Amino acid sequence: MTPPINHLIILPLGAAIPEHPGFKESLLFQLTGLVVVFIALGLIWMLLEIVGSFFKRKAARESRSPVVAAPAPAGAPVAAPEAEKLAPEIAAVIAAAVHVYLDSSHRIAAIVPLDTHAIDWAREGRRQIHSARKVR
Amino acid sequence: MIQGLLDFFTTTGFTLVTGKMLIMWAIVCVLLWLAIAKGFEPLLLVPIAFGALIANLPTRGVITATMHPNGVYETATFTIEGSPVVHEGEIGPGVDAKQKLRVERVEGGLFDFISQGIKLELFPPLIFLGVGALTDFGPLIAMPRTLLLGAAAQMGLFISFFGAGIMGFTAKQAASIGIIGGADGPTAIFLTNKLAPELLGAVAVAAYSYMSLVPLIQPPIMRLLTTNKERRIRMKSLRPVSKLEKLIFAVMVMVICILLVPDASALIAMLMLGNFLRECGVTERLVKAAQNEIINVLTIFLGTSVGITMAAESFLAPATLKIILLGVVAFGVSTASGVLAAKVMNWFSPGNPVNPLIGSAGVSAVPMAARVSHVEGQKYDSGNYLLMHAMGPNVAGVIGTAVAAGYFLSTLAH
Repeated sequence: MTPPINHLIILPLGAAIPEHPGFKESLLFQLTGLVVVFIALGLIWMLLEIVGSFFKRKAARESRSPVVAAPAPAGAPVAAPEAEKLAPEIAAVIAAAVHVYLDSSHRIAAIVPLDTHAIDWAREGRRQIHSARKVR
Repeated sequence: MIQGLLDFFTTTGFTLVTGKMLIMWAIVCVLLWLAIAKGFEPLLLVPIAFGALIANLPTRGVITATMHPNGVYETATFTIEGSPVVHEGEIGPGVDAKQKLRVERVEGGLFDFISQGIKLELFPPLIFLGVGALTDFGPLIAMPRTLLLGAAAQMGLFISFFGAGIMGFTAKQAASIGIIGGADGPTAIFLTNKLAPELLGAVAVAAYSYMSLVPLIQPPIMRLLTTNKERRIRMKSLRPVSKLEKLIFAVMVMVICILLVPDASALIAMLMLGNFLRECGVTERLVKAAQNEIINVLTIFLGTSVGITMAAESFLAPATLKIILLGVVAFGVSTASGVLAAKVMNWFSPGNPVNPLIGSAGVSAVPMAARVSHVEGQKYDSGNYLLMHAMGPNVAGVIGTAVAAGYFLSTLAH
């Protein structure tokens, strides 16, 4: 059987407000309501700050730890000379973008430049399809 | 043959058209003009206006309505025909006989059945499921102090409660009128249906009309209460919020709100269920259904069911004008209190100020109110992007209005 929690909470308040409340009753009723709203949202605020502090600390820890490249397996082909020339600023930007996108714990194993020649035809096909559409 | 045509004419609906109906047709035209030509909340105003038109035509087999002697206009009532059945074999000595009814026929029009979604409080919580699936609480989680703006913006509800009392409304009716200030249509319908169903049409129309007029009502109040310097305040970027944090938030808000105001359980639980489905990332099909099919179907049914309560007999009453007047007061006060609360917050944290323009977004009306804050901010500093910051108080307002509705229900409905 469900315990009558609702009735325990509501009866004293419900009995306090008549059908046509006077000025004082109405004012008290409004203040109580506003306090209830502030308590509810204030409580959520407080708990969010507590929970958020854990996540902020975790994020700070992760941002301090350096991005470590995965060791190349034995027998792996030697990295292409272009990959070796990758500027550290670009690596940092890619790492930041991946972090924002994945939004979870991750490790970047390798950054490999795309072979743009291989996708040129696909890109051209898409461009033609898009240009065939009427912009509304 | 002419006599035959005349006899037929008496059976048509033309003879049943009244002057009040014609006035309602004009009101319907205004609502449709606002929705279609002006683009004000068309998704809701179109079904409401169409429902109102149906309500003011001499229809048959659409809805049953009765005007009671006390002035209460009751719609969507069925007649059930049946005969009592007693199972003698199941009755033992000292055991009360249970009367069972074998239903043979259910009489009712299309909207007698569809409107049960409002009467039984099904549509508003289910719409909240879709709202939850559409809402990103990330900005609120990243800047939780904006919850206070959402709470402060509920001031209008209580002020108009007071005003409605002065105008002669009962406490239950006053609460239903006050909730217009929350600018949350489903919550207003949910509350009014429980406390003052006789005002449902007027309250819903006022709530949705004012929500659609947010870009016109709010900016003058925002400008009046802020200085040029305050409107240019640039806020710090929001931190990224992880998936786990969003999931914890959904569960936490639901538990707190239900424990504090159990009467708002249906609304809060469905809102957070929708949001949990969205954020958990493994129920994509369900999220899409909640964001599209479910909310769209229910919006059609909700809008037309509300509109169909707007029969001339009940809508063309002095009470409707009072409700519309009190509604705009509620809306204005809520906007003003949100802005003022933001200014008060800046006194306590001058090092990390909030732009007071985002305070007005505390009046729910997601995401229109947040967009208004953003647009107003850009008028004074084109490089100031307030939209995501304003979404914090905006979604906090949804929670705040649901809590306020729960308070009214807890204190008045029982």
